[in-house]
Amino acid sequence: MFAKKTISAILVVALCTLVFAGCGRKSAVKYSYDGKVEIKTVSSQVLAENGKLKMSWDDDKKGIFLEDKTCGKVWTNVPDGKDTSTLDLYVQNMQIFQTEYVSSLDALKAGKVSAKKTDNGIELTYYFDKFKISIPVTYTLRETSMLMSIDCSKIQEGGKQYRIVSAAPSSHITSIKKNAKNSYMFTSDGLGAIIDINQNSDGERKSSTGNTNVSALATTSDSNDSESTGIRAFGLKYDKDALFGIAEDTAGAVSVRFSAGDTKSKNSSIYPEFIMVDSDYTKGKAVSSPDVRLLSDRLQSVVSVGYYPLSGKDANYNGMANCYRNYLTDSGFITDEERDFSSPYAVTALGGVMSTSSILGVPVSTLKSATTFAQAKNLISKITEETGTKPVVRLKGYGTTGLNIGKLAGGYKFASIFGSDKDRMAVENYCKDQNMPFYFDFDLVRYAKSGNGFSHTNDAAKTATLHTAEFSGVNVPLRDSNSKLKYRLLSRSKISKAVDKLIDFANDDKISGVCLSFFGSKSYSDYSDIKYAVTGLMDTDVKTQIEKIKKSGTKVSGSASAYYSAGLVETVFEAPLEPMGRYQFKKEIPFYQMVFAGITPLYSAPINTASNPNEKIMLAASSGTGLGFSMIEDFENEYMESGVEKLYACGYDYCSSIIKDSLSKYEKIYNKVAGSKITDYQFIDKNVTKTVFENGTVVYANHSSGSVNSPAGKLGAYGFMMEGGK
Amino acid sequence: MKRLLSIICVILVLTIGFSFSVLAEPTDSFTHDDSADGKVKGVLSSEIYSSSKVVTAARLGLSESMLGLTDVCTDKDGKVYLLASERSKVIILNSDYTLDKEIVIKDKDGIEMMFEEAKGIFVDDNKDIYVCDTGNGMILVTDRSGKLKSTWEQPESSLLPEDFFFQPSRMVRDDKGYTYILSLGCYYGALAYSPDDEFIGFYGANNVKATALDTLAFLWDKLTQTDEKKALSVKTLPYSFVDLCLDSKGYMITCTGVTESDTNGTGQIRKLSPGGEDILYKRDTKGISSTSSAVNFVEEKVTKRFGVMKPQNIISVEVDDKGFIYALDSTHGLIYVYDNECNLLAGFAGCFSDAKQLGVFDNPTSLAVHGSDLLVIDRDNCALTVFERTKYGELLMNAQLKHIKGEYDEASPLWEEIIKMNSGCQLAYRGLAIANYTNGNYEKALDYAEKGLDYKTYDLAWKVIFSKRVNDNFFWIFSIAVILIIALVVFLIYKKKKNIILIKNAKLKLALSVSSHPFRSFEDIRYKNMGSLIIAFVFLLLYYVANMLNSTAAGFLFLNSDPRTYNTFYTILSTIGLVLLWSVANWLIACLSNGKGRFKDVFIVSCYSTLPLTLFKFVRVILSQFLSLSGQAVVDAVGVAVLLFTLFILCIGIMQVHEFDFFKFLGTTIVTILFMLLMVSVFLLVGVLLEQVIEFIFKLYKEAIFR
Repeated sequence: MFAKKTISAILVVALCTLVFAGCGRKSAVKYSYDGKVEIKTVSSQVLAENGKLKMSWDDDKKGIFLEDKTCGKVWTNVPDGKDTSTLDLYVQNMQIFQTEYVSSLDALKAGKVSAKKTDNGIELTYYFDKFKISIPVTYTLRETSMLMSIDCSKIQEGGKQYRIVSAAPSSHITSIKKNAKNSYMFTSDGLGAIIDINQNSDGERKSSTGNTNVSALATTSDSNDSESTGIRAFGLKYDKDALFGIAEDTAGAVSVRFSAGDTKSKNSSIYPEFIMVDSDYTKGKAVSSPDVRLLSDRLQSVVSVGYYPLSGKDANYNGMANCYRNYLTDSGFITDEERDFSSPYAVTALGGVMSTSSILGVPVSTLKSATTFAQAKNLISKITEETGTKPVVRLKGYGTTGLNIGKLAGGYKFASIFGSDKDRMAVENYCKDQNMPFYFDFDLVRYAKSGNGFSHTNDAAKTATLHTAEFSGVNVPLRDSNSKLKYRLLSRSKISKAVDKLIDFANDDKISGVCLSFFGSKSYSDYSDIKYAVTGLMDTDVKTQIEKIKKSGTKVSGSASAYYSAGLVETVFEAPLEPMGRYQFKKEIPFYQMVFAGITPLYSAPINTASNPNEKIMLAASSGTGLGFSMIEDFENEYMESGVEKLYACGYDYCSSIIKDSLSKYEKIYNKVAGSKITDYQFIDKNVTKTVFENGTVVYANHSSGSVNSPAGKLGAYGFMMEGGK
Repeated sequence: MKRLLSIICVILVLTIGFSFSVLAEPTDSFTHDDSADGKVKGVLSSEIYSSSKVVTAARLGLSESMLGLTDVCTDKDGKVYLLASERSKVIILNSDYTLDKEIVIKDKDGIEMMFEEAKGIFVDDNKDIYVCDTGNGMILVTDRSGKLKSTWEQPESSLLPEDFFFQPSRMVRDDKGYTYILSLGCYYGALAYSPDDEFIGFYGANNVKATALDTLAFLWDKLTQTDEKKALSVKTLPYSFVDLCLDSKGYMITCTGVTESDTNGTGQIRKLSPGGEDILYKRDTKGISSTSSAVNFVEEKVTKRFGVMKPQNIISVEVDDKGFIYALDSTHGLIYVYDNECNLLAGFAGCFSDAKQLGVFDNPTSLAVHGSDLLVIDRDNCALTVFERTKYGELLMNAQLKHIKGEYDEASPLWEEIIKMNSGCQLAYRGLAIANYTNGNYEKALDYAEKGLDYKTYDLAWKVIFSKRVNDNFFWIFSIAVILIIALVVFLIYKKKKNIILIKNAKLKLALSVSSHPFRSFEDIRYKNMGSLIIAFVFLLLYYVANMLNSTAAGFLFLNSDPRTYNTFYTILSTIGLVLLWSVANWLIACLSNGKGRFKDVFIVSCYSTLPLTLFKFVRVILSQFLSLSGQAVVDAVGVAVLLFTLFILCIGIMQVHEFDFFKFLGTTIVTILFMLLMVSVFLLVGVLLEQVIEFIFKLYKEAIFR
C-alpha cells in the first residue's frame, strides 16, 4: 500500500514537471515603455558633410536630405513635405491577432518625435503612446553613403496589447513619381530584377523579398524561390541618378518591398522593411478555433541599410552591382585570393541514395550505390579524355545515407559500400595529379538522426515559439509533405562544433577540399538564442567558419552560395542562374553574376537535368558562368522513388554527350571571359542581351526560342556569340 | 489520489513541433510509374513542356487588364482567341503571341454587348467567333470586326425537358458541321445541332455509377416505397461535362470535374463514339483493356486544405492532331498529358495562392493546344502562360505515337534516346521491349519488359525463350526425365519387395497421410492421440514460408507484390494469424455447442489441413519460374481446386474432432466465422486505443523535449 502511494506520488510529480516545464516561458527581452520623456528638437541644419555627400535636417518638414555633391541630386525621405510618413510601423494586436499599420505622422501630430544630433548624423525617436512603443531611427553620414539603422535593443514595448512586428523607416526615400522618364526600380529578389515604375494595365505590381518567417529559411515562400542569393539590396534609377540601398547589419531581417503602378498612389516605391520578430502558428485554444500566430521575442541587434547615391555612368544596375561588390570587399566578404578559373565545367559524381529493400520480409531502408569511388574515378578520367578538358570535381552523397539527409555531414564518414579508403584516395590523387580542383560535399546544417555528438532532439534549431523546427520533403505531384523525408536544422550555436569536427575529419582522412552545401547558401534563425533571431549574425558566422576551415589547410567551396560566402570560397557549385519568371518584373538580370563573376569561379546547377539545356547554357554564357553536370554510373528503377536529385537524367552516356556538345559551343567563350568581371549588362532588344566583360569581351545572347538578329550576327534559339576581348 | 491522477492526465497542453514543407520546383514534371503490387506511384520525370512566356495586358500594350479570362481557343491559321469575360471583350493574338486586335461585340445598332459570366469561346473555319454568354443564356456569333451576326438562344423543342435552362458554357463543331454545346448543369449530355444549326437532341450523357448495394436498395424501394417516401427520396443524376473537344477524326472527348467530395473518382475523361459510348480504353500492364470509366486520370490521394478535402477537378480538356489528350486540374493547377490509350506521358505545372510566376497559376480555367505549344489561362492573374515542348517531350511523344501505330522499329531509336535522358521512363522500356521482340531479340525484350513492368511482352518473349531452351536441351531434359521416372519406378518396386518403411515415425506418417486418408487420420488424432504439436507447428511454418516465397520469389509474371517493399507482417497475419484465430474461435464456439474436441486437436487438425495448400504453393513457386501468363490461369484454377480440397479436409477434420454431423458443423462454422470477425474488430479497437495511448505518451515526451 505504501509502495503504491509512493509510486503514485512520484508519477504525479513527474507528470507535473513535464506539464508545467513549458509554462511561464521566460522572455529574453525586457518589455517596458516610458512615454514621459522630454521631446528634444534639432534645428534645421547640415548634419554632416564630406567630399561627396552632404546630409541635412529640415526641422519644418521633419525630414532628412541627402545631397550627392558630384551631381547635385538631392534624395529625401519627405518628398511630399511634412505630410510624408518617415516611419511606417506594423504592430500586432495581441488580443485579436491582427496586424495594424501605424504611421510616424501620428507621433508627429502628437508632438512625440524627439531628435538628437549624433556624430555625423541624427537620431530620431518616435513615441507611440497609444501602442506604448518607442523606436529610435539613426541616420549617419559615411564617406560614400548614408547609414539608416535601428538598434532594436533600444526599442521600448510596454503594453501587452500591442507588439511591434516590423518597421519601414524612410520608405519614401526611394519612391518616384509614376511615369518618370528613364527610370526604374531594382530589386535583388531572385537573381535580380528591374521593375517598371509606370502604371499599366496589369495594375499594381507588388511583392516583398526575403521573408524571414519561421525558424526560417530566409527564402521560404509559397512560390518558387529556389534560386535565391540571399542578397538584400534595392535601388532606384531616376533619370541620370540612382540611389542604391544595401542591407548591412542583420541583413536577414530586412525585407525589400516594392509597389509599382498603383492607381491609388502617385508614386511607385521600393523600400526596406525591418522585420523585428518572427512568428509561428500554433493550435488555437479549441479544436474549432483557427491557428494562432505567436510572436517571438524581438530582435535585439542593430538592423541597418546603407544608401549609396550613384550618378553618371554608375546610375544603373551595373553601377549598383559594382557598388555592391565594393561593399562586400570592404566588409571582408570578398577576398582577393587567387582562384582557378581554368576549367569551363564542373562535374559532380553522385554517390548513393537510400532505397527500400526487404530483408527477411522486413522492409528496411538501405544505402544503394549509384557511383563508387572507383567508378567516379573512371567517369572523371573518361570525360576528361573525351573532351580534352579537365573539370572541377565534386563528390556528393558519399556519407552514411548517401544523398538523403541522415546524420549530420553524412556521419563524418564515407560509407563502405562506395569502396575503401584506398579507392577514395585514388580518386583524390588522380585529380590532384591532373590538377583538377577536387571537393567532397558535406551538409553541416540539415540532419535527420542523432550521431557524432549531435542530438536530433536537443541540438536542433528552434522556432519563434521555441519548438523544434522540422522540415519535410514533398511528394510529387500534389506537393504534400512527405513525412519520410523529415529533417531538422542544426542549432546555430552548434555550427562551430560541426565545423571543428569537419576540420578534424578532413585532416585525419586527408581530404583536400570540402564543399559546403546549405551552410553558406541559406540563412536561418534559431530562437534558442535571441542573437540568432531573424537570421541574425548568419553572414558573420559563415565568414568565421569558412576562414577557420581555410586556416586548417583545407580548401573550401560552396553550393549555391549566398552573398556572404560566394566571395570567400574557392568555387561555387550550383550557382543560381535561372530567372524566377515573376510577372511583377520587367526584366530579370543576373545580379549575382554581375557581382561575383571574375571573383569566384561559378558553375551552374546540372545542365543535364535542366528542362531546356540549351537555354541554361545560354544563360551561363551571358553571365560568364561555368557549366555544371552531375553523373552516376548505375541507375536502378528504385531511384525514381528516392525523391533526391534527378538521378534518371544523370547517366554517363547522356551526360557525356551533353558535356561535349556544351563545351563545343561554350568553351572558347568561357576561356575568354573566365576571371573577368562583368562591367555592363544590357538588353539591346526584347530578347537579346549584351554582356561586356572587363577584358573587353562582349557576349550577345538570345533568350528566346526563335531566331533573332544581333550586332554579332544571327542568333538561333537560345544562341550566343562572342565579340572582341583580349 | 486516483482522482488527482485523472485530473492531471486530463489537463495537458499539447503542442507539437511544426513541420514545414520544402516545396518542389513548380514546373517539376512527374509521371506515374506502375509497380508490381498494382499501385501507381507519382515520380519525378524529365520535363516534356517548359513554361516559356507569360502574356499579360501590359505586355500586349492593352489599356486594360484581361479581367475575367475564362476560355482560350485557336483557329486554323494559328491565331489565339482569349475570352475576357468581365471586360466583355475578345482578345485576338497572332501566332507569336503579339496583339492582333481586341474585339468588342456590337449589335446592329452599334450597342456594345455586355457578357454575363461568359465561359466559352469557339472559332469556326470561317473565322466566325462564337461566345458562350452563359449568364445571358445565349451564344453570340460575331465576325472579326465585332459585328454581331446572330445569336443562339434556347432552342424550342419537345426534346428539351420542361425545366431546362439554356446556359451555354462550351462549344465545338466538327468538320461535318455538327455543333455540340455544353449547358451549365445539364446532365443530359451536350446539345447537338445539325449543320443547319437545328437542335437535334442530346449527345453522350454520363452514366450514373451504381454499386450492388445501390441495386439492392433500388429493389427494396420498389417493393416497399410509399408515396410519401418517394417524395422524400433523392434521385441520383449523372454528372455533367464541364468541357469538350473533338479529335482529328471527329470523336468527342469530354471531361467531368469533381464527382465526389472526398475522392478523386474515376472516368474523368471520356472519348465518345457516334453512338455516345465511351471508346477510350486503357490497357494495363498485363494487356487487359478497360474503358476509361475505370481509369483514374489524376492522383489516388486527395489532399486537405484547412481540414477540407480537396479532390482534383479536371475542368478543361484538349486534344491535339496526333491524339494526345491534355487535361487541366484546377485544384492543383496540374496539367496532365495522355496518349490515346490513357498512358500518362507527364504532368507538370502547379497552383499557388497569389502566385505571379512563370509556370504556376493562381486560378487556371482553361487550356488550348497551339501547334506544339500549350496555352493556359489564369483568371486571377489575368494572364496567358505559354508552354513549349522540350526536346525530350518531342522525342517521347513521337516515340509513343509510333509505338501506338505499331511502328516499333521506327520508335526504337527514339526510345533509346529517351532512356539516356530519363533512365526511369517505363514507357521507353516497354517500347524497347516490344521493338526487340518483333526483331527477334528475345533476351533483350525480356530485360526491357521487366524494367518496364510490361507483363504481356515479357510473356511473349518468355514463351519463345523457354520453348527455345526446351528445344535446345530437349535431349537432356528428356533423358533426365526418363531416368527419374525409371529410378522412381525401380525405387517403388524395390521398396515394396523389401518392405522398406521410409517414414518410421507414426505421427509424421499420419500427418503426411491426411491428404490421402483424411477420415482415418483425423480419427486417429482424436481417439488415439496421434496428433503432434511439433509437426503442426512445422506445417504452419511451412505454410507461412510457402506464402512468403510466393510473394517474393515467384517468377516475374506471377509476382503480385513488389519484393523490395515486401512486408512479412501481413503474410504472418494471413497465415499463422489466421490459423490461430480460426482455431481459437472454433474451439470456443464448439465448446458452447457441446463439441468434444480439445483446443490442441483443433489446432493440429487446422495445421495438418494446410498441407495440400502448402505443397501447391511450393510447386507454384517452382512452376512460376517457367510458365507463361496463360499457364498462370491454369495454375490459378488448380489453386482454387487445391484450396477447396484443403477446406474439405478441414471440414472433415473439424467434424471428426468435435464429433459433429454435417449440419451442426455448418452451423458452428458460420458462427465461428462471425466470431472471428468480431475478434478481429475487438483487436482493431484495442489496437487503435493502444495506439492513441502511445501517441499520447509520445506527445508528452515530445512536449518535454521541445521545451
